Amino acid sequence: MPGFFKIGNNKIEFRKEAVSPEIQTENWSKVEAAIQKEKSRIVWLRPMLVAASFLLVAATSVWLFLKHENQNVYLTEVKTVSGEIKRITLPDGSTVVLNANSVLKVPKVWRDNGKRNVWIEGEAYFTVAKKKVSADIFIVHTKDVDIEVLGTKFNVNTRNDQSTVALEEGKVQLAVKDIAPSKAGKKELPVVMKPGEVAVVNKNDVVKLDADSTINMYSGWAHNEFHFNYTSMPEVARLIQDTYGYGVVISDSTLWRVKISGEFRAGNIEDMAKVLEVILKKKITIKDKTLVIGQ
Amino acid sequence: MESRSETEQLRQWWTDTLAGNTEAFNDIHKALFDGLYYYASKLLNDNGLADDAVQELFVKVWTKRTSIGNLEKVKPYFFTVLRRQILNQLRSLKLRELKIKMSIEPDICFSIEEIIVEKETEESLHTKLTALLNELPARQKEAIYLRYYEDMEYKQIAEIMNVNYQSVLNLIQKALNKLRSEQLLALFLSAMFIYKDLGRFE
Repeated sequence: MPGFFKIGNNKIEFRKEAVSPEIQTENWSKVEAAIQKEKSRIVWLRPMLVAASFLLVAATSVWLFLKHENQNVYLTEVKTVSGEIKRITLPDGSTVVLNANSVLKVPKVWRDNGKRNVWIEGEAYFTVAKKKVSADIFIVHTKDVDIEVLGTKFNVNTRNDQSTVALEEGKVQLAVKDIAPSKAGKKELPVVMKPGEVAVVNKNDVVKLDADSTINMYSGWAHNEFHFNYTSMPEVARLIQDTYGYGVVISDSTLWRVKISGEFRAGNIEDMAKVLEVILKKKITIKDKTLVIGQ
Repeated sequence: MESRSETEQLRQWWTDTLAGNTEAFNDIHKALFDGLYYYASKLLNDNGLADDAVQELFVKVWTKRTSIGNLEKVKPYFFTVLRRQILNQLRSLKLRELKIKMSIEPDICFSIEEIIVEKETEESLHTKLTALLNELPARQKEAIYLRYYEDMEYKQIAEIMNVNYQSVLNLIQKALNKLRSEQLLALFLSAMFIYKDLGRFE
C-alpha cells in the first residue's frame, strides 16, 4: 500500500498502475538468457583458466609488439620543437601547419580511395582538400576525440589535458573517445560543428562553446597573428614558450595579473618583444632564450 | 511499508541466489520488478530504457553475487544499485549528446493520473498539485517519490540516494512545506490545517 501525506484536509497519495505481467516475464527471460550464457561460459572456462591467462599474456605481447612495429613501418612522424613551426603538404593536397612542440603522424602510403587518417598531439591548423568521393573522409585523431572532416579549415589543440577544436570554415563531425559502451549508446548522436564554433573535449566531459568573433584567437598563430582577448599574462607566457621556445621573466610580480587585449602580427620573438613593450609600457630585453620584462 | 515477512522472504531468496539458485533469483525479480521498473522509467523518462536498465541490473547483480555477499535489506540494495547505474547512464548520455542539456540529477515527472486526492471537491487542486509536485527541485521530488510512492523508510531513502538521514528528512519536509505554503494555502484557506505528517519529523 502506498504512503500518503496530507495537505489541508486532503489526503494525497500516489496511484501505482500495475505493470503488465508480460513485461516482467519477458524481462526475466532476457535476464535468464544472459545468466545461462554466463554460467556455461564459466563452466567452460574454469579448467582452461590458467592456460588461457598464459595465452592472453603471450598474445598481448605479440600484439603490442606488432602494433609498435606497425606504427613505425606505416606512419611518418613530423615533430616540432619549441619555437618551431612546420608547414606540411599531405599527398591529397591538404596542408597542415604544425605548431611548436607537436607531433603529426601520417600514414606513409595513402590509398587512392578510403579514409585519410592522421594523428595529432599538440597543436595544428588544418586546411583539408575537398575530395569528390564521399568515402574519402579525412579523420584527425587526438587522444580525446576523432574529428571527421568534410572539407574545411580548423585548428586542433591537444594541450592541457583536453582537445580544443576551433572550426573556421566548412563542417566537421566529432566522435568523442573513451566512453564505456553501454545501453546509452542507442541514443548516440555525433556532434556536427558549424563554422565559428569551438569545442573543448576532455576526459570527463564535453563542453561546447560558441566562439564566433573570437574564432581567430585559436588559429591566429598559424598566420603569425596573435589575438588576445583579456588574455592573462601566464597565458601569454605559455604562448610565447610554445611558439618561440622562450621563457618569460617578470620583475614586477603584479604584472602577472594584467590582462591584455588586441590583435597583432609577430613573425619572431623580437617582434613579439616590441609589441609587448608598447602594450605593457615596460622595458623588455631578450637574453639566453628568455624574455625579461623589466620594472 | 515493506513488511517484515516480505523483507525476510527476500533475504531467504537472496541466500538461495548466492548458492546459485536461479529460481530464487527469479522470485526476487518477480517481487521487485514493478517497483524497479517504475523507478527506472521515472528516472529515465522512457519505458524501453527502463526495461533495459532493470535487465542490466539483474544480470550485473547475478554476475557479481559472490562479491556482494549477504544482504540485510535486499529491496533497498536493488534500488541503490539501479539508481547508481542510471546516474552513470545519464552521465554518459550527457557526454554523447552535447547539444542536449541533460542534468546529471535524474528528474522525476509526476503525471496527473498518478495522484489521488481523497476529497476531490475542487478539480483545480488536483491539477495544481501535480504541477507543484513537478516544480519541486529534482532531489526533493525523488525523495517524495521514494517515500510516498515506493513507501520506503527514511533510512532506506538515505541509502538509495546516498545522503544522510537528516538530509532525507529535510528534503521531504521542504517539499511538503512548499506544497502547503504555495497557492494551496490560499486555495484552501482554513484555520484548521492539521499537519499530521509533520509529527513524523518531531
